[in-house]
Amino acid sequence: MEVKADMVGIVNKMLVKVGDKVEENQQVAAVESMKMVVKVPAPVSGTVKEVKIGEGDFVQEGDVLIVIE
Amino acid sequence: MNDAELKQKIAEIKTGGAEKYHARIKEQGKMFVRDRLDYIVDEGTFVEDGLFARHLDDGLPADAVVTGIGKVDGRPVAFVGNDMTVKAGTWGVRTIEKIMRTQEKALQLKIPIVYFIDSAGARLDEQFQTFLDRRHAGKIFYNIGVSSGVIPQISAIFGPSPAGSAYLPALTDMIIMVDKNTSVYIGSPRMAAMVTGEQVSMEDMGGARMHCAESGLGDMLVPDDKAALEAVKDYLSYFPQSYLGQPPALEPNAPIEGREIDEIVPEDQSEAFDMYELIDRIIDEGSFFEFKELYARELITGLARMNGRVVGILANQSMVKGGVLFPNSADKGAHFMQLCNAFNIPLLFLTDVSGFMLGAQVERQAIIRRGAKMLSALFNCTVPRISVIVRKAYGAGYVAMSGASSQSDACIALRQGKPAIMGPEAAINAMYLRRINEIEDERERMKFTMQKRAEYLRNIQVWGPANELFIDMVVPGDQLRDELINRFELYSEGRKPEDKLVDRRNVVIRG
Repeated sequence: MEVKADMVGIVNKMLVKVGDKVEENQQVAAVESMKMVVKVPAPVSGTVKEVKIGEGDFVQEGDVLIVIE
Repeated sequence: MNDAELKQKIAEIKTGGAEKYHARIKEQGKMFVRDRLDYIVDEGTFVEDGLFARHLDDGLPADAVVTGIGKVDGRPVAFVGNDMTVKAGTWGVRTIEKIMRTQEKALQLKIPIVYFIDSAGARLDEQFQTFLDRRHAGKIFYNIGVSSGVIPQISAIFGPSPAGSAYLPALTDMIIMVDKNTSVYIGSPRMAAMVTGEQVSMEDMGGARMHCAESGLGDMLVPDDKAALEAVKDYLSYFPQSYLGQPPALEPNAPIEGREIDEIVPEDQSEAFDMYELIDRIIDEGSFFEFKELYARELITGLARMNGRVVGILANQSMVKGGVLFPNSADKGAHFMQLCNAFNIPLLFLTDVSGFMLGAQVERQAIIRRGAKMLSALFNCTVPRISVIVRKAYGAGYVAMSGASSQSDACIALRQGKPAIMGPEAAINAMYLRRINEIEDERERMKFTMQKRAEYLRNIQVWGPANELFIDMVVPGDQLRDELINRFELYSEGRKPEDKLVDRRNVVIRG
């Protein structure tokens, strides 16, 4: 399952790495935009398969941040 | 024919279509249209018209639609319900006349009308008697357009609502959709494959969840028929019978207990918090009826009661997209405000917004044109309006959330309120960029920036604006509910439903 950016902004925190186990709703990243830090929750429980974006990267709405299996 | 035979005949018509079609709807988890009516209408109050429509034809009992007026919680409501077991609920010659007569009666009596939609659309083999005349199908849509804002118009879509008939619910105030069973589309997936080559499933094309979360056509997603009927009943309880009445008040209820507002709202403007928790602290327990819960979630809209009295709430949700206003949230806000204003429901704004979204993407999605729609809807609201600056209220966001300059009855604030044209980072950048760049030492530069930001932040606290009377009151969090109850009661004095802001034919909204 792909976790996508909710809105355009800069990735302010990437809290997981490949192989990490995550629970549903656990915060996996944060995107800073419009002077707000928007938390990105995991939509499902599972294992992080891919991290596509690093801290400081610019993302558009809909860009894939991580992939959970 | 004697009475016994007449009763027999009535019972026969009321069974609807053939057994196999009843079996099919049952398989899909759907109720028979008459069972839906029995479920929602007060027992023994339903007055049906046109039961005998086309009883002389073969296989067209009531011409596939049940129409009449019954009471819901003691108040009369008109109903139009398609019968899926008769010719797939299609519109034939008398179906259309029955629907129109019900609409005209509802408008004349000034009572709400509810559509139970479950129909394959126009009956093609009868199209030459149903499509072109002044009293043919198009007048059904015309009647809804003309009744808009006069009486509440609600659609519960239990099955398909394809092609032209998709515009029937779209013209009503409120659309409830049943997960997995509702499908609304201009052309079916089969037609799309034929005409454009697109391959898409029914659910992706026009399913309930898609419409409630993405297109915004659906205002509420429910799991089954019973939940849809309960939702209709619940929704009606917040509305007067027509624009001439006041929304019915209920017995007051205390709010749910929990953390205090002062604790819920963080000082730090960039920290997200759950606005639902704040709403819970000020409304009567169990009174929240959310509108478009799954769509543009950065702006919460819903009906609620405070001390038993109905209020419409618009609130920025910083947990979703930072609570920023997007093109979709602007549309959502405009729709909700017009709905409340039409039926004398006062509006409460809970503001925590850094403005309208910026960037190439939203400009292409017409953030300005669609944002203007929200502003226009707001400016033309004549119901009591109170704006509470919960935290951030920057730029056009302050105006769109009914700040003082939008002529609210009152603009009050919590102590965490920060109304300004923009946030500290952007403002300092705009005002001091050259000076900041001239400072060579990095630490000095940082120090200067931070100092200026802190200064700015102090200036945009509520105390300055309150000192200048821009803000009417700064309210302790635990007194907010009482303050709002008192103010709403006060501002309803001397207001009449027929009050107009100015004389004119209509507002011009950019499309």
